Amino acid sequence: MSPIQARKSLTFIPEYGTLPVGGGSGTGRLSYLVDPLTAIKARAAQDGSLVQYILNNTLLSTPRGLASLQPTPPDVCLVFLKTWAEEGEDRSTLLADWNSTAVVESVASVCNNTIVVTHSGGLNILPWAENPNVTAILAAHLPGTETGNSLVDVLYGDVNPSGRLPYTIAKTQEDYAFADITNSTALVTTRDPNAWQSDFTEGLLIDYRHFDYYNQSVQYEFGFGLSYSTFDISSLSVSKVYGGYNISSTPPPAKIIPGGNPTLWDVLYRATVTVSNTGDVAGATVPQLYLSLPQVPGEDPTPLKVLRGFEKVSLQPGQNTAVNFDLTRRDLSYWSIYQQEWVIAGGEIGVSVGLSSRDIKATSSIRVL
Amino acid sequence: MDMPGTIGFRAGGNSFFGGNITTAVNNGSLSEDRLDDMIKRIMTPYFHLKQDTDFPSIDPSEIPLNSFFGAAASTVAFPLGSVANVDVRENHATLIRELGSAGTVLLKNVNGALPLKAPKNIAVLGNDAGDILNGEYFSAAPYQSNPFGYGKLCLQSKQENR
Repeated sequence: MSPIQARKSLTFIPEYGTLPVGGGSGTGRLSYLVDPLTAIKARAAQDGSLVQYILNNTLLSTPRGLASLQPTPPDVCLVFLKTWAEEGEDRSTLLADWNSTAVVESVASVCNNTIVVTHSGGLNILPWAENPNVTAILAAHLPGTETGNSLVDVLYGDVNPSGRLPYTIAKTQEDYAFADITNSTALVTTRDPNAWQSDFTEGLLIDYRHFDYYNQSVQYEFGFGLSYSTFDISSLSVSKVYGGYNISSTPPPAKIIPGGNPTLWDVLYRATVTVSNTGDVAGATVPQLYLSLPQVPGEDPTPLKVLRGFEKVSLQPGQNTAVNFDLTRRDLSYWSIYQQEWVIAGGEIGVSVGLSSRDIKATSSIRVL
Repeated sequence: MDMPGTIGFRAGGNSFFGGNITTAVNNGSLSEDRLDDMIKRIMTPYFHLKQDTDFPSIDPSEIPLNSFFGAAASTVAFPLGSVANVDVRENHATLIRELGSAGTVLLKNVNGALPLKAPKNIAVLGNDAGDILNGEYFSAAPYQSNPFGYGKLCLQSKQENR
């Protein structure tokens, strides 16, 4: 019997319950829990609304499993999906758990206003994202003890969402083949100490850097996230602010302190943009600064863009504000494995500021050396 | 620093540091300055959080809750308080509610689906929507086979997901 089979035979299977925290060392014992259904009932009571619910995924994915919803279709169907993640028990799929795809498709087939909420310790691919009856998707991650209230605040507009994806949601699981999930019983039982060797052959091209480099379309890109308002970015200017000697390719020698050579944190340039709320409601957005560092001959592929700054900015409707991004020596450098040092490359460095990694609103360029 | 306290949960009083630090200082291989630096880094958060004055004692429930290793296996005599159910939450409910919203990413929103406009007929669907039915995190029998109580996956179901 393999370890996985042994584990399975022991595993007690609680299917029901929202997922507010992760497992293993990432877990926490809650003092209490406000689950989504409880919070929605409380909020819906203010409007005198009917709240119908079916929490059984097997039923939901069965023909006529939604027949008990009457009157039907409801004004809105909120579907909740979860994805367990825990140290020592890796995920074997990027789909949400418990037959999630069939559940969403089943609900969307009867409800043309289906809103999907995911609770997950990491990214999920969303094969139903383009379904026209799926009208909204919220990646709520692992919200903690007030999970239901946190969600109701967003659903009813008391809080304007401003979260941004810290990863790329690609189209299919196969799109991640460059850094595939290792799912091998042989590796679990191996006694070969080299069997788990990983050479990180993707180099610097991880996540959005991979998808950008190979010009691959994705479902939702790194840095993406919608608001109930709209925002714009304009007037990018980049200027040298370092008044010292000519900037050298490598950091000047200095006594090493915690964090390394302190000159890596010298601010050499500053980028400034104007961020505006162009919509009708107050909210926050996250302008993001990406640098396009030169490809150095002999080095591994350089990503087309790397994130080097972001700020969360709250704005009233019609309001705008200046946002500064300080660019340190380290920001402008790449790590040379040959020199074992942070190095500023010769040539043009592109500067892009946008509302996601693929929604660039303003560009400029500098020559540092 | 070892975590937590000694080399292993059942390693007795052995530590990579502890007495070895004394030896290293005495034989000159470690300077007292470096030792002072190490101590400052460890003790700064202790004093910052005022753990030396008026800090809540450790909840005695900590021991049964940590039954994964068990009280008997612990090599550290934690200074447990006599009062259980110690409330150290302060305004955390407000904070975690705000953080929960802040960590939520709106990926799609068409046909003015959100924010909701007082819908009169709401369906709430899926096994992730409701309260936890199998109890919270607890690592003692009979929950031991399911140490992270709720939301635990059936591996068979994971296979069927594909």
